[in-house]
Amino acid sequence: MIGSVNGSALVMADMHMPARGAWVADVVVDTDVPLLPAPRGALLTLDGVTTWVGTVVDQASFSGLMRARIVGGAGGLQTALLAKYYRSVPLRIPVIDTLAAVGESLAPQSAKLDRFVERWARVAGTATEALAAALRVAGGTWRVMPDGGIWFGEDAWLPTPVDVDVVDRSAERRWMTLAAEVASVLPGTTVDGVRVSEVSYHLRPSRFRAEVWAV
Amino acid sequence: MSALRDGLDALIERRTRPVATYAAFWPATVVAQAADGLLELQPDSDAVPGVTGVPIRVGIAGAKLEVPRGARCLLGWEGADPQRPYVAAWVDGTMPGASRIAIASGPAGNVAAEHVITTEAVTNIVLQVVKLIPGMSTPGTAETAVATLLEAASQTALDPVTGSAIIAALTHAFEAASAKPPAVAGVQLQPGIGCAGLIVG
Repeated sequence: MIGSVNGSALVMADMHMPARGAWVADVVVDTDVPLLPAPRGALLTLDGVTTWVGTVVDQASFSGLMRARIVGGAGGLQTALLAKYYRSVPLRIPVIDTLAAVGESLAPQSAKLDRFVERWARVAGTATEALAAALRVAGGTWRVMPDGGIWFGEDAWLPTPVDVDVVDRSAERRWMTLAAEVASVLPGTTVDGVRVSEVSYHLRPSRFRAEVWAV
Repeated sequence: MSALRDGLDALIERRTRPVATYAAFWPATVVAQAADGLLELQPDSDAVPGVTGVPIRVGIAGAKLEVPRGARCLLGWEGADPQRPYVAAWVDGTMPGASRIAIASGPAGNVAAEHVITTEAVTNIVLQVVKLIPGMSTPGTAETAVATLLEAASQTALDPVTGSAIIAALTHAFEAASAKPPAVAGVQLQPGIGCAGLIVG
């Protein structure tokens, strides 16, 4: 098992990456020391290749192990915000402002936010709700990337850069199970000709699988 | 099962709340009106922000409305779009002063008429008041107030200040006759369409 959280070995892990929103990982770590709950304080790797930057939002020890839930980014997307009004700005400004208010940051490769808005009203609610309002105008999607940044843009559906071994798939090709070597399949990419909407990784001592749902 | 239902309810509420917020009407107060007619508003609720540059949807094609500071209105967003706030309506009985409505007709704007607070409107109001309030037929303050109104109404046009004075006098006449317009049986007084603060029968 080569996965780890902050250098402590993973016993098992389940990670889900939705088409829109934050990835969430439920992990069991071989340590009895609580994980650092600071924003972006959890450095998770499932494959020893990609490091996922997230925040521990819940944890408990049992039998000398730590069970924890890690969400992508700084863990601030469910934070409640006050209403705010903007005039004559690109949509990027209220989005960045919203993210900054909850400790999150916009991924530099984001797009679709240059649209100019004469007026923009953010109503009171969570940061996720504010991002959803922006998305309704901008189009595309948003999600928390492995590095913890919040990405806005249009999915490019680029092929997954590594070969995958399809273990099982539905007749309608709506989902597939892959024997994963690395966690390289992400939402917004294409696997074996299928556009990937959501991905779940399941890491166990004896195997590493990815479940993929098509758009 | 209850936990499942609660979870589902919470999910639906979480997903629909933002749109529902934009889709609702929010009571607000006019802070200022710019020269271009756009309003600065302060909503009562902190669920929505204070807004500027807000257009008024008057309800009459081509009409423009001037409203005083402190006027009460309903703030909404067209299509529940955060970019498109607008004033939907005016709250009855909260207009602290006169309003002014201008109506232009014709695509080229070559035919135009301006209704400030016209002599016709005031005359009609006064006549209705006289009909509605029994005390008006007796000598006294109310009668004097009505006479003043009629004299003012004989002018060919009234500017907003004069119009405001007449409306104030009209209100005084109601009070003098100890009659409140909504209490008149069978008659419901309400703001004119798009004419904030202008009361008609």
